[in-house]
Amino acid sequence: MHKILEIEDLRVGFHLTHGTSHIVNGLNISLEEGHLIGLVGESGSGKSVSASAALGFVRKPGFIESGRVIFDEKVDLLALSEQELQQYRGSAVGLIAANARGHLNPLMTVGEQISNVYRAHNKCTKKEAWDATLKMLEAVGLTDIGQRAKSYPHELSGGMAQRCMIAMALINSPRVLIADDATNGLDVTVQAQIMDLIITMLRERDMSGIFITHDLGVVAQCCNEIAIMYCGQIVEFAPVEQFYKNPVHPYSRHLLYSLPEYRNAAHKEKMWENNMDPMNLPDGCLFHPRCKFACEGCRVGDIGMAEVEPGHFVKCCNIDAACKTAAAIKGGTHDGQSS
Amino acid sequence: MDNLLEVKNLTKLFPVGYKKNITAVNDISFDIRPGETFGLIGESGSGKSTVGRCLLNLIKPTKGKLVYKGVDYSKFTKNQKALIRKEMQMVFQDPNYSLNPRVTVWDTVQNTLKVSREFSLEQQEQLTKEALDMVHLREDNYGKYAHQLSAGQQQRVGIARAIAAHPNFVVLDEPTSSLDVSIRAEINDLLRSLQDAMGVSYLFISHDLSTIQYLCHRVAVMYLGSIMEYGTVEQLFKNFAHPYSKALLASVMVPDPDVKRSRYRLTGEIPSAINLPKGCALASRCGEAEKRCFTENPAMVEIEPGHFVKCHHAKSCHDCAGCGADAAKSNE
Repeated sequence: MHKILEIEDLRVGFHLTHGTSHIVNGLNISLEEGHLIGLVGESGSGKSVSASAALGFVRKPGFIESGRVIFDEKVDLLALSEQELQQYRGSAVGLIAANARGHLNPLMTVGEQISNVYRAHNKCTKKEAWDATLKMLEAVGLTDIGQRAKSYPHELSGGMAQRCMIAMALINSPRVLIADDATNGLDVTVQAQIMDLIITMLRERDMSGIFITHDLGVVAQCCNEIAIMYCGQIVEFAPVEQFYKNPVHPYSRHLLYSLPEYRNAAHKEKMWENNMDPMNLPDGCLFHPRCKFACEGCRVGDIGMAEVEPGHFVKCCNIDAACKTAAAIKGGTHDGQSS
Repeated sequence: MDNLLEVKNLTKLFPVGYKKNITAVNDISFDIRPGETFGLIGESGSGKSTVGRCLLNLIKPTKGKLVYKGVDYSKFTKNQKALIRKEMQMVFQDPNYSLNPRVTVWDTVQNTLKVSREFSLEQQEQLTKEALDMVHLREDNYGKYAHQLSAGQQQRVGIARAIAAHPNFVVLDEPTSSLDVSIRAEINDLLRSLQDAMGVSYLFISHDLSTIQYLCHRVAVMYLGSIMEYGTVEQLFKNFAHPYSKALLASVMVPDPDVKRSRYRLTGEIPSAINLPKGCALASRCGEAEKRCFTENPAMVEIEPGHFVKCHHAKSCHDCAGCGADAAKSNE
């Protein structure tokens, strides 16, 4: 398969007064053409930082320690200069940010902002850009477009502002779309409308995408593959069908079984306190201080990704113990101490 | 069964501009029984939180009657008003902003007990300790300030503060919506176990259907200030009868790839509450609306015992045993 976007060993840190905070620690992810990956993790796990780092949007005090972001199996986006990178932002990789109203310029009408994005990548007159903008606004399902294009962000509802952001991200027909928590803060009915819109737009335009979210429901309904992120690393990567039937990594199971839908008597184990500290990362597996299956092997060295089923990768050195408990939980005879 | 709280024809208007009003709550009635969790679901702007604040006597309703243990709110004496502060409490949405940054965990909880002037110092200390134990906060956290705690711990302090004086009734205004999934599960389990231990009633305000299904006994679906449908959790989740509730359920992303979502969608967005539509509030967005939906406001219809729906098509939409004849006639 053709790999449209490949992130290799990405490491991002932030220099703070008390030391360096390591947010992304060796992220590996590859997006195949036409696929949708759901990137899931708790707040503080480095989801958004890795997305903006992939487009070179890391500013001081942040810095990229190492890593490559390869687009279309040819160009390393991180090796490019700021000017060269501008050609790729928006036209090759589009980004939808969370909190649409916060990312729109409050002093410009949305139509102006969208047509500016269009003019940055296409040689055209203002009139042509405006026409393209109106066409795009129609495609994202806004009504009364002439009026809407001339309104300021504060005059729009949250759903409408989010649609404008989608229009802005898609107007230059990028090959890859990164949606960073695109439906955060929207009502469920509006969320369903927006997700339907993004999915149909991606299918129509033959695009690939990475959805960053903390909602496991969105991933189950919309994506092909799921990547669970913890402390700036992918701990489990699997096709969606396999993951929801058989989550393997202790952290992924912890996340999935926290949902009311999956939470029956057999799953009610003691919740683990979150003690993730990006300033002082532990040796070995980054999850071991919270993990009750942790053994000696987890505390030292580098843990690689192991393939438990075809296409299903897990970063855990004690998979057998974890799997055994998973099977026991399924049978409803979970004793909680099987490590 | 005696009701703890009764709400009759509650209406709340907020003035905006010149001679204009926002109708936040529009003529709703329900009751809350001792020891039960009553859920309110709805989109933002549907008036859920306003109902909660009216029930706590924080704001005065424009019209309607609120009755607590047989006593009308408007007839409360000064002493009774002070008393219901002890018996009714609230847990807020954002745990960080709802805690005073300059007060320690211990004092946050103890201060609520000082206000009622009913407890001696020993009792205050004992109740504070008890409440903090109940929410599983360890002793080394007692002297900490809000910013030193994690989000889950902050919300547990908020809950401890609410339950310290052993209230009869707690309003939970989206207590888990700003938390991560795993912390959310922890808080939900905690709320459940507290209810089992203390017999407290909850009004649970949320827009998350799966949490409502997990926690509540009875549920009301609100839209634009009106209750569209209400009944027990089993009745509702077995068969949502109102088009709005159906759309709400269809919008939920189920975390299971084998479950396919239905394609039932509402069009457009929630209309302005300043000029309420004349007929059914949903008419402009509803796929099943006909002429009379735009002119006539539908009445509450009981389609099975304890299950009420506010829709002209209620019966034809619902194929329960109680209205089999209507179901046969239904054109769906």
